[in-house]
Amino acid sequence: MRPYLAVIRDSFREAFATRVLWIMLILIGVLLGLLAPLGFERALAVSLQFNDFQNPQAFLKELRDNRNSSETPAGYVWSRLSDGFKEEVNDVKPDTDRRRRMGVLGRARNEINRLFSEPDFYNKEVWADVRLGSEANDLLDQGLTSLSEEERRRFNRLAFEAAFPSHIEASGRDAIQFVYLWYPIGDELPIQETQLHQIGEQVLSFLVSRLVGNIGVFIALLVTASIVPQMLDSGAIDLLLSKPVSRPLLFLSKFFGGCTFIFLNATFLIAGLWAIVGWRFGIWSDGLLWTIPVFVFVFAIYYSVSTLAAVIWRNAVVSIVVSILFWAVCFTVGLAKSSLDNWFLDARRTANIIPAGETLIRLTQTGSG
Amino acid sequence: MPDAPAVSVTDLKKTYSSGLFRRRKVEALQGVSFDVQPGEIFGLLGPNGAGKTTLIKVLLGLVKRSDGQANVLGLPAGDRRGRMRIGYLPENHRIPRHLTGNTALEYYGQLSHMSLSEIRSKRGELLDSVGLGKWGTATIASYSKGMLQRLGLAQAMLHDPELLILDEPTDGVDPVGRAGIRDTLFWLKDRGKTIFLNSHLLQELELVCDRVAILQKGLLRHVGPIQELTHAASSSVTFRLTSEPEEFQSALRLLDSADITWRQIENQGHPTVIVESSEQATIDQVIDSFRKANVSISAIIRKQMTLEEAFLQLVDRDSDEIDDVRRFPSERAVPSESEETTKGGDS
Repeated sequence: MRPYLAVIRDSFREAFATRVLWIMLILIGVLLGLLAPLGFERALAVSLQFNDFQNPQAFLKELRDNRNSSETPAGYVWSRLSDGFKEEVNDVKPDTDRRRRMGVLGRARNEINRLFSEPDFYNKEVWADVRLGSEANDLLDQGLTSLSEEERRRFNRLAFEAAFPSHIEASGRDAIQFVYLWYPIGDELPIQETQLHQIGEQVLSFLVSRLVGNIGVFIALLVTASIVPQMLDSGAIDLLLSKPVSRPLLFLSKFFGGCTFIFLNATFLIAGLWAIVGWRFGIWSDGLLWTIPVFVFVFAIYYSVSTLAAVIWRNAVVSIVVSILFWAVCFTVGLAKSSLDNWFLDARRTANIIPAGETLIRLTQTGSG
Repeated sequence: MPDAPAVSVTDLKKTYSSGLFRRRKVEALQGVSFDVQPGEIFGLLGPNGAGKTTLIKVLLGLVKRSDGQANVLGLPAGDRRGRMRIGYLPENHRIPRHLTGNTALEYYGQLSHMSLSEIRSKRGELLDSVGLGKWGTATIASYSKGMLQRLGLAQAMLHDPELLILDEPTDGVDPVGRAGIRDTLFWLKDRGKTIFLNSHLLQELELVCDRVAILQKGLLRHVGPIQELTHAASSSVTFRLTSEPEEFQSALRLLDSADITWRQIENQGHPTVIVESSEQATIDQVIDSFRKANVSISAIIRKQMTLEEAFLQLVDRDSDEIDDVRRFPSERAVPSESEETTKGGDS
């Protein structure tokens, strides 16, 4: 085994000497270092989001129509809006273009979120006819002055929701606030931790399949493409083959050296991601770790094409081009297959059979019966 | 088999196929046979395209022979056990530039199944012996061509092989370095190693080789000791004479009557005759003729051909490759001819 281990070791020596491995390790380290401070905190859902407005135009119209009756919640809210925003709302007509209406909605959201922060937003007399929910009543029972700022904002939001039930979506209590180091990023998101985990796994899956699976393999091919052609250089291969070593094992050692090089980089990247996502988000996804061997396997497939091209043409650039062409062919075939599935086969393929009385209903992938 | 030849080839043939459907055939070796005895320095000569590199590659198992036999160290050519005992320095070898002198020896030593500790214990002395003692930690990228050659020689010697196959070992090496490599070759020979040399520098081969083989267009044109080749190719003897004109003319008439081919030149006022023969009987007859005509012989000069001259005489002069063999005329390390001078009447 000694000669073949020497060949593998030489692959690393070569990688270190050409600084490629260092550059890759540093880039991966920088990427992980940038990702590590990203985390989240549990929060109360206090901020209005765009999709909380069920009927924005009707909501704004109600505010505007009640401008003179400050004893109603709509008039009260109107009275606390900024003058500039009020003018904007007054200018909105049914034929106002959509882009401008969306701009007004964005500012409406900001204005109302600002109101939630005001300690005196809730007015008992104004809200006298509004039926508050149990969560709001619980907070009210605790005494508004004893609430924390976040709880008071939450209460204001609940009171607001209760005043406009047909315009504003009722929110759940829990939310997630993304933070970078100690600084919050944007508004809190009204999702629960379990939802965060699901979303996180989907994001990871996307990152691993698209970013690592495609770009990562491409970079890996670029980095390793020269290993075999350099070995096959006539002045180098004659010297190697004169040694008492097996040709197939020598070739496989060089191939394995390239794969090991990529394995180390992939392990550093993916295990680093796994640790960061687990530590910062509580998503300890074992599936993420399985992507390491899967990634190396995928790389080995492309690398085998690259090395085959290297053996035939003995040129690193040609190896890379052939590998990319192979990737393009695989991608095209995959795309064609999924397109055929979506357009033709899924419409006919049985996905489920549901009993309906004395008959059975067949459902296809696209949901048609 | 202690007496088995280190290298033995018998009717060795190698045909390369090329072109569309591999129909074009090139016969690189056309039935070559010779032996290399253990402990000798054997030189392989030939113009470009003669088949020298192909022969070496067959011996190392880098290419397969088409026909015939090739054995190295008693084993079939290319056998892995045989390669364990061979050190090879290829022509225009490329040692990876990311290595240093030390790590290159570690790499190639391990490929020869040596342990790291064994390599590390030997490499310092070895690098010293090829004049690279201070360059062990320098990267190959900083090495000159001559230093690369010497490092290549060091890696070939590292695992203490019985047979060294060296392809152009002095290529790119300066005269001092060449002398160092010659010393190394003699040192290896003294230790009983067999050395198989392939070089274009015929003067270098002449200085170190015991025997040479000359290949041309895949055919073996000559194999034997260098002296045999150069003597066989020597073709003239020069006589410097002292005599009166009449006696000299009389001597020339005697040569003519003996049907001896000669030509006359003037040399510093002394009549000088060159006889186009190296046969001892002819030389004796010429001496007898001069003495009979009362001509004094002040000197007899037998021209000793160099290996290069003998080589050029042997191979086709109109071959395209000959010019290439003569590409280093200015690098002659030794005089073009040596002179054996015998006082008149003592020969």
